[in-house]
Amino acid sequence: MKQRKNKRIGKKGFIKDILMVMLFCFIFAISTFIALTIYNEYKDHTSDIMEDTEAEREIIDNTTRTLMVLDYAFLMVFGGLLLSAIVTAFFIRSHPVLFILSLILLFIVLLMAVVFSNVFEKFTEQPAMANATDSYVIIPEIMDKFPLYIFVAFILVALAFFAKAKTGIGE
Amino acid sequence: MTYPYPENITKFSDLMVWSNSVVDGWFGIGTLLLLFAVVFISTIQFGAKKAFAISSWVSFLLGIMYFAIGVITGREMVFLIAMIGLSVVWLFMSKE
Repeated sequence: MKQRKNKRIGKKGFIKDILMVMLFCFIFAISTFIALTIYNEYKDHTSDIMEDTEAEREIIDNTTRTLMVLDYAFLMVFGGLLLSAIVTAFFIRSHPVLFILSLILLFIVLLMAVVFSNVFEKFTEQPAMANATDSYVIIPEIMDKFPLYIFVAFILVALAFFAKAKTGIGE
Repeated sequence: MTYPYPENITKFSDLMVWSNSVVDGWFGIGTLLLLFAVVFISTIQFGAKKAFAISSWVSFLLGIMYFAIGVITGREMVFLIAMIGLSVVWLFMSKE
């Protein structure tokens, strides 16, 4: 029996991937800030009893180092998710006519990015988060210009989605 | 930096101006480049010269609209016109 090739055009395209990248980065950033804040509070209240021995000091050093690495991990997560979205978009069947529709969806994506960026800013303005805001560099930088980064990500993913020559890939 | 929300949007052009403001003025250039690349690669089967001409004209048409609503400046419009001129010269110079 001849196997039928699935040539159905997906209804969501790459938009779902862009929204997932945004949501995951936002959750990662918020979680990292909360983790560092909680750890700093814990360290401040237990420093007099936790730094007596070498093992305890090592635990504190390792935890601090791990939390600092999350700043760079955010960049890696953002880049990795973007790369996976580009690769996924390249293999989705598409047609250039749908490009106009994607421009309309771009407004929704930008609106979401603006909301995430503003919420993150309000979150980091809280006095309890001041220490975390001073400790990290990459996360506040990306979240501050989140709409611009998401716009660039959208352009790259849309390029992979629509700009396909007749090679047979993703068709 | 707190971004403004799209309030008092009555026209589609207002939405474009707002989008341009939240991406630091890169909206017009970014979407024009994307449109150029999509049209160019979609029409590359007709040859590079024709694909370049088609994509230049299509980008120019969108560029006129962007220029009218203030999403791109005169410098980008001059660049688009130069691309059309280049494509016309390229088509005339070809022996096909």
